[in-house]
Amino acid sequence: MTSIRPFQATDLFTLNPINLDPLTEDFYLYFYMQYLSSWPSLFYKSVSPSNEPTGYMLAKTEGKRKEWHSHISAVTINPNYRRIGLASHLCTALEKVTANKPYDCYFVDLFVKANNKLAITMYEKLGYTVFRRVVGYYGGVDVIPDKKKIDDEIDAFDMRKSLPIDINGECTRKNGRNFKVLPNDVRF
Amino acid sequence: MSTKDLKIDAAIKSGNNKLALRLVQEKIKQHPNSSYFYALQAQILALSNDIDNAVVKAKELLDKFPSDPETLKILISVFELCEYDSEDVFEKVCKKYPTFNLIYERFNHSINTCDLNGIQKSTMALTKAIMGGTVVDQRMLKFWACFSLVLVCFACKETLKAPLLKLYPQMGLRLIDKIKPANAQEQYVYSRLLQLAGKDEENASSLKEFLKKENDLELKLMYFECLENLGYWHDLSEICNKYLVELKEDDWDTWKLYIKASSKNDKLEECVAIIKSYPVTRNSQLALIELTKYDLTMSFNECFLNYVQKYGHKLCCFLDLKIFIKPGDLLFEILESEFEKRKIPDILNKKQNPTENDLVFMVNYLKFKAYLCQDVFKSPEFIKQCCFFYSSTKPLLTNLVKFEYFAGFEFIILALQSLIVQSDELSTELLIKLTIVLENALSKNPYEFHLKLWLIKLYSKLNLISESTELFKSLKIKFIQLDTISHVLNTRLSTLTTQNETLFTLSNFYTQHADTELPAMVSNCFQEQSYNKLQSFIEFQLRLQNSYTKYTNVVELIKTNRILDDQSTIDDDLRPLLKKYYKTESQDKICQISDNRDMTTFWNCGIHETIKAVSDKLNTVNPELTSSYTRLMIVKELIIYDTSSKYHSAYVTEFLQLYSSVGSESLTSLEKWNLSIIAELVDPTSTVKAIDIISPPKSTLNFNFNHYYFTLVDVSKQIKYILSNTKKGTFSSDKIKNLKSLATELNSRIKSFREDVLEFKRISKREIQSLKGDVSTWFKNDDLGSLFEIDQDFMTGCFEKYDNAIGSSLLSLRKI
Repeated sequence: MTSIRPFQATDLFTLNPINLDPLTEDFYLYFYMQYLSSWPSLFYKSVSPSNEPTGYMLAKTEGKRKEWHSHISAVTINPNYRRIGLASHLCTALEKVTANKPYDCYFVDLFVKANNKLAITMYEKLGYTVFRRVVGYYGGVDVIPDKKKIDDEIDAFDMRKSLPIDINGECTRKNGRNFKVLPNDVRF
Repeated sequence: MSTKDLKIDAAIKSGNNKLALRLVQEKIKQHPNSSYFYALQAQILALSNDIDNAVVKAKELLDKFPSDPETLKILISVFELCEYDSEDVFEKVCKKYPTFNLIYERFNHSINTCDLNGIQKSTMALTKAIMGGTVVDQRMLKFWACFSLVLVCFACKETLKAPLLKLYPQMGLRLIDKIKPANAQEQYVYSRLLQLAGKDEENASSLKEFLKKENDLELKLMYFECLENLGYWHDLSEICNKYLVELKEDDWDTWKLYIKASSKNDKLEECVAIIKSYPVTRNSQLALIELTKYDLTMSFNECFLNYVQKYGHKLCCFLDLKIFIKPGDLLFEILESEFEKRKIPDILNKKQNPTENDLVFMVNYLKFKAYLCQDVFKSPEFIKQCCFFYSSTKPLLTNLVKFEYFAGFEFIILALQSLIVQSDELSTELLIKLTIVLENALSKNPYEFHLKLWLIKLYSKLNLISESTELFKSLKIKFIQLDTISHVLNTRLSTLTTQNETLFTLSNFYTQHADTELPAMVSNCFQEQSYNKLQSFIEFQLRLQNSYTKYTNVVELIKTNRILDDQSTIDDDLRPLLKKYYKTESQDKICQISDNRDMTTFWNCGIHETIKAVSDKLNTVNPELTSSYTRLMIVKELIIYDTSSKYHSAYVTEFLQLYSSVGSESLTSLEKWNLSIIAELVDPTSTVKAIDIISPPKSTLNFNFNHYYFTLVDVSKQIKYILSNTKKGTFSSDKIKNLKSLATELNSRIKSFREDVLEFKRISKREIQSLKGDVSTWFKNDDLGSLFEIDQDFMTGCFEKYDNAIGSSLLSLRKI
């Protein structure tokens, strides 16, 4: 069973069952705190009846004019609560929140490793499409990205889903997988 | 304006107080009107232990109302160093000069020190401050002041006088009397004030209006709570229905409230109809079970079965249903029927290959079985069943993709818990068997972190600390995780190895991250006006500042630095923290030591709770630390290192009290012996006698082996320090004589064990050989042991690893 609750700083003490997962990053304190103070409504958790966090959504808003959007920075789930649609539930909640006032965003987006087929399929089911390939996004400081060299291991797909305000779907594109950009091009 | 001087700083840092004092006197001559150097002079006097003079100078300076913030901060530190209870330095000066800048400094200082009263007073003062040209958002300042009143009412409710608890929310409401909340954050502050003022009706109607404009989660929850408190069941039922049905927010807590409100409203039938017409989700199906609490015509068992049928193949099934059941409930027939229906016997009889769903159902089935009847842990049949289930589902291990988990690891954990329950004691042989089974499971399921946590703990009990450390590293534990989970490795680590980097990493986390980042983030939260996060930010800051793990780590670092003869780190970095702990523990309830240790993740498998019989047995070797243990250890260190404190006699009294009251189950024999030496020394009645030094442990594959020799060295250094740093006449000559003779005996023992280290290696090799034979026979021929299907080559590999690890542990003994 699931309830969605606002995330609070003290919840950081209780994240081990989620964050000990090898694919989940444990960030600097200021990273979490920055999200909490700058986007207090966009950092929330799913909880069990005993109020233990079972997953969380860490998101923000950014961009200008028609690029004004919400961005999913992290969405992660405790292994005991996987394969029950909880990540989708958290993503849908974000869409609902940021499609409406006071946010009125045009779209939601997220970055996913180009080789993470499981996640890509899940996001596609939720209505996300690839907007562009960010070449070398996960390559670290040692890799100099080159648009001619695509590599699923280090490239990211920037996936987007239009929100109702984007009536004509101007914020998404077809065949986005073939549209290549460099990490510097995706800063807001 | 303060003018800092690098030479003075350097002299203070190097402990050359005489030079620092001379330099500061020169500066005073050059800048006779700069308060900063007078404050510095008092600070140097305090650091030179010239307490009376330092206090006089500091008080004289404070009476002149210096307005330089740096000066004020130094004065605060002088009073702290001198253990002098002065008046509030900032408050006194801010009253004289209520300028915006000075009060803002006080506000920041209060955030840095997590002083809630200071935050409240300074934010209120900011609303009335003399601006002197500073342009500030007055509306924001008013909300700061209002929310600070909320903070104080909430955090200090046990210490704040009743009239103030009543007055503060009224003051807040008056402050924003004519301001209409413009956004969710301001509405939050307004609602919290109304809540504290007991104006629930007004709050409900205000929240209702706001939620029409904006669906804010925090405010929605406040609105629900408000309606529930008021007993407005009709409104609550309607609003829950709106969120669940109209807005399609499928939220468990909303369902629960909806059911409760419908019941109070006599509208359960309508509620049942809504649930039944709702899409089938976990929440809606659990709502049916929840309904059985209110509608006695509904069958709990039917709803339970319905849920197991729909979600029995999901890992959350056991956890979802656990809150509705209790040990002893007769639900096993239902589970058996589902077990048959899903044709699990065919899988066990190898007539059918298991699917992922089958595996998860089998895991849930065994969890329910163990939870409903915890006596199964005493039965060898249960171990057999766990092993049988593991073996039957093992083929699925080959389908795992990278980073995926195999849920069948839970069979292994349950089997091992049962094995521990059924063993007479936590013997070395048992520990070795457990680690081999866990290593085997981990080799096929390499990302499963519970297996790693169990191994880290067990290896530390086997004195195989390099294995624990490697596994701990593989978990990539960092930042806040260090505070919560490092205890699995760090418990008494200073007496196991000199390779104890995690103690230093943990210490750095507090100094470089928690202490520096958090005040800035609290301040940022005020600036961003994210009021609904502020309370938790401050609580988080307080809990890290006063973290239990932080102080247990201080105790560990003192031991390790003492063993390695680094007295300056103890004096400069660790002794101040000991004093801070003592002061914190003696303060009011806001600043209590906070035990942030995560004691649940380790047990978050199997039946998802601590099994006392297992935990008690695990605690027979290197027991978990308790709060009274840490207090006792810290007071002991204060007795040794804070001899000139005015609290020294209080330390002694408390130490003797704790010494006689702390349960022996939370101390090792060596720790008891160490404490008894100090107790005999400081006991004014001379009735406490030191325990005779105990014999060294025979087995190297035991936590107590390294712990024994490390503690021996540590105690000898404690005695050495006491003998050379205690003023003559503090203790009777007889006691000093005893201590000296003990020191001689210890030195001779230490000398001889250093010569014996090579012999220890030979002993450990023989021990490992003998254990290998016994354990191998158990895995090969024993009814239970053979069920774990441990390959002989795998086992041999484990023993080779243990041989290297014990070599590394013994090598540590040569470094002390």
